[in-house]
Amino acid sequence: MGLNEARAKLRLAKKHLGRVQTAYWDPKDPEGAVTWAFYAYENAVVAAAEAIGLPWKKTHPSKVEVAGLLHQRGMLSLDVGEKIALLNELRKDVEYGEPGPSLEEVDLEDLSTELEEFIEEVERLVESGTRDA
Amino acid sequence: MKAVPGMPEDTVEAHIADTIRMLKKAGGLHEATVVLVGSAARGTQTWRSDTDLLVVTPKPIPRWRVPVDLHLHMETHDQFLEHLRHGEAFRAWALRFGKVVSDPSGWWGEVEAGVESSKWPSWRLKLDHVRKKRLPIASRLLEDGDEEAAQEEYLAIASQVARALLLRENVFPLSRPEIPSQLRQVGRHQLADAIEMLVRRSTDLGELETIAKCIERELGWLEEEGRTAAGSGR
Repeated sequence: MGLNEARAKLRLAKKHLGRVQTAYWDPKDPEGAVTWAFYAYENAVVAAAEAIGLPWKKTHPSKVEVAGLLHQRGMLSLDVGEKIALLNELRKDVEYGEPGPSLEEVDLEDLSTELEEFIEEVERLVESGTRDA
Repeated sequence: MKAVPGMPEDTVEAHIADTIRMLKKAGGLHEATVVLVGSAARGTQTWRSDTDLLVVTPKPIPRWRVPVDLHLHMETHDQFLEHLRHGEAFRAWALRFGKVVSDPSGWWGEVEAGVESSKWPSWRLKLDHVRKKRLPIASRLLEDGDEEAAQEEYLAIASQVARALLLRENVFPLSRPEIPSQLRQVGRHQLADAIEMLVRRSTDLGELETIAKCIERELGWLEEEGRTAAGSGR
């Protein structure tokens, strides 16, 4: 728990980000991209929560709630809760083998860029915790 | 509805009420069929269960954002019937076990009474998808050491493999938490244990590796059965 856990979750988020970045190059893989992005966001949120000692549970609603709290408390500039919920919906459709029309509307480059920026912000938060520790 | 530890008792009711409100707002409530499906319809939810709602309308209506613990399956009458004819288990499940929340046009009742509602779903339909799309993701998550995500992916895969096994044995799969006991009835004890573990508690990487091997065995067996059936024209 704490900073070690935060760093471990951040490492996972970055690994998953790498796969999102690969998924938007040809041949594009939107199904993979939304799944990897979903898990990357969740890991990044948990990393931020661990860095500041915010409790979280191993459920999706808990991570969405924590994403909102991190933003409300001024720790992160964005509340990514809605993004996590949207990606969850998309990846569930994909999981059932029935990607809906919403998947076609996802801009994979934007998805990747926004995720990268979010992870960078979480990394700064984790690093600042490391310095303060 | 049955109360679930960690899930507010009224969560399912709240999701249903929100869906009805959004349909009303979109002007589609008078012709939309809304059906509660999955474990909530069977009263078998666990701590990791979502609410699953099927919304079927004559024409497409725009989707709206939903909470992370609600999965909304939205489709048109034609799409639903096409999936049903194609042998999709989810639609057949909804017809057999779904709880109708709203059906003002009576469309659902007509489909239930129709001959297609008794069509047995195809057990082979999702195997390729599992093999080519889902297993590579789950196995990478496992290699990465992302226990939570790997557990989620393996649970989804194990459930799809289990449904295929049961359908092949002429047993209609019930909701996910009920599947282990159905699997035991057809002699698939290891997969039953695996799903039970994945549904009930957090698993570690060692357990997930064992579960992955069990899934691989069962999936391989099903694929072989599929090839044999195709070869003999069954």
